[in-house]
Amino acid sequence: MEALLRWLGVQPRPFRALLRTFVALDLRGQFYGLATGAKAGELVSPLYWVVGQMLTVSLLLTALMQGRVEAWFYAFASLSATAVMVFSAVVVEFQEAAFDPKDITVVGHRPVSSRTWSLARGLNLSLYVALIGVAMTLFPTGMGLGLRDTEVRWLWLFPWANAVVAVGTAALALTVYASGSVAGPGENLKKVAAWVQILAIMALFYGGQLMLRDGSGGIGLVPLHLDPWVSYVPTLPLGHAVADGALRPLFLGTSVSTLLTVVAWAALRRAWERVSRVRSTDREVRVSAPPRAGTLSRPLVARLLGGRRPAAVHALVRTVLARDSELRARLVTVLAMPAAAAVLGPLTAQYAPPSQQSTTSVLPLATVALLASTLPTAMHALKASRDHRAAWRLAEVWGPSGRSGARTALLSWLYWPFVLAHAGLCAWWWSAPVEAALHGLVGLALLDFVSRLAAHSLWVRPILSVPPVRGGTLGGALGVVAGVGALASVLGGLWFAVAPWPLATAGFAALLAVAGQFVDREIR
Amino acid sequence: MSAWKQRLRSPRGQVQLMAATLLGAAVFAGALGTQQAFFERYIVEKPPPVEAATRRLATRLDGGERVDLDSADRTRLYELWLQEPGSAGAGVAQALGEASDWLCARVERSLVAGSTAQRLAAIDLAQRAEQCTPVLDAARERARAMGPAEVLDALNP
Repeated sequence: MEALLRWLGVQPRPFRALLRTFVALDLRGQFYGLATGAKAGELVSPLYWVVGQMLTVSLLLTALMQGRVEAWFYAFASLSATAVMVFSAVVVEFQEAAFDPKDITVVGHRPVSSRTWSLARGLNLSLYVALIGVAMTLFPTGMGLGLRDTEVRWLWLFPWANAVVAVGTAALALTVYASGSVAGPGENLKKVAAWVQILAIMALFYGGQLMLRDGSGGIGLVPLHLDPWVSYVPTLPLGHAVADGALRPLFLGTSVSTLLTVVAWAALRRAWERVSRVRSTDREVRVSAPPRAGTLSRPLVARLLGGRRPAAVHALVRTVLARDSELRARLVTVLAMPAAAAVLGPLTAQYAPPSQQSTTSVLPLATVALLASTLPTAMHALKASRDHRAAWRLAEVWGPSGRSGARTALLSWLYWPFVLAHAGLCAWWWSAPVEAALHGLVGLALLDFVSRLAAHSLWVRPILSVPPVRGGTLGGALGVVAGVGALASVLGGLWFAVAPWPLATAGFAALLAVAGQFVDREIR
Repeated sequence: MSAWKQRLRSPRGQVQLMAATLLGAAVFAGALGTQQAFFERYIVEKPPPVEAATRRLATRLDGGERVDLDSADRTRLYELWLQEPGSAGAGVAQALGEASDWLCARVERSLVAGSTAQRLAAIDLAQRAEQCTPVLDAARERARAMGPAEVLDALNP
């Protein structure tokens, strides 16, 4: 091994030290948290969850296709998924896995050759890509072997093709970034790519259900009507090669991947040498001003909320929401279930007006009930913030009025827009704007009532005062989540019972509003 | 902190956890690969129950009566054909065959998303209507690769 390294012009001892350090950092580092939402205090490292997400994507995709498509399409779709996942993973963790400019401050002044450093970094990236590649290989290989049109050769041809795709994609991404901007991908692109994995899981889970439930043949018809541009996707000939046992395209793919890997390594070396010439202190640092919440609406908000104290908390929470992207991500994801119901309902023709009282008219109400049942989860998430040390400002004003301000901020930022958009969707889908407006009104009243109840249970201490590490799970809020979920279901049932009569429905909304006021006065 | 938690937090523990997960996934994938019949059980079209009016319409068509069919009528007759292949005959096949593009798209869907019985019914309908030759040719190629044998037998001239 040592002889080989020396032949390559690599210093064996520094190489081993660097590689060991990089791998140890990968295994316990927190940087993979961007793609997984994992926090520093968790027992299992974020890298583990990255692998878990890859396994989930691959399992969902193969389960969706099993028995429904031919082997070539099965291979093509799985290989394409590998390419997308590897690309997103490399983009998100580019600096940590492939090229960290901070390396210059740690090893730049030591006698480590660029060849040694770049091989260590290249191998570190290769291990990361290999892990993802293996995670994306297992299910298509094992389950694909059970397809009626595959043979034993699938067992080695598919992993081979998958390795070709994973290595080729990673090498291509590395070449593009290392030969262009040494700083790597921009933050916005990294954030978008970080969402790719989560979105892929959601798209496969919900989209798969949609395809299976709508009875239109969905996934089985896709291979029969491929758009012409698909023939230019490199994974298509590889998919055919795996299914047909044709070795020539696989050897060609391997050669291209190997060539790309060599080019990527050369580009990485050049990038390191370029950065080495620039002293880290000479680098220009740009700091953009954090977004600020507006102040124009504050007098109006103070008037609506009944005082300056709740208005101040309202403004503070809106400011935190504008600045804390992690908090925003935690809050928005709780809407996954109601959003999925609102999308799948119309697509599967199960979104009739509740006044029709049929089995297909339950879902519009269920969407709002589901939305209300997510409130405790969102309120629990709002207890934590990365700026938790500044929460002493809230302690002064915390109490019924503070809760009111925070509650209104959460509702106006996240829930009211959803209810209004949902009412708009219903108006369009039902062609009945009055009934849709009434639907929205009851939704707002239901959210108001449930949020008042949950706020008293969950927000005893000031919000935003806990480090995010404890905000990732439901923790002590489970009882409230279950209770509010049950209550929302019961109220949804009552709503369904009165839905045929508009006046009774309006009365139901008024009753909820009064009940909300009662809860506030009695619990206070 | 307990010993196993401390062990899990170490790089070695993380590697072991990841290896165990990947090994478990490999075993699970292999086990799922042997359950092809389980997945195929769910490949079936689920049309709504046949209404009495549809049966009456089929009887009229089979009796030689000329009826103008709209899209909903055609869909209901096709669903009758899928669910009760014996209860409709040449008149229904001929009437559906007059809208050949519609029929071919519907037969194609049944051939990929239907159960074996539904596929056989769809093939029978297309052959009686003397339509959809390209769709049946493509289905023959697919059946050669994926089966089942009954479908391939029905498609072979």
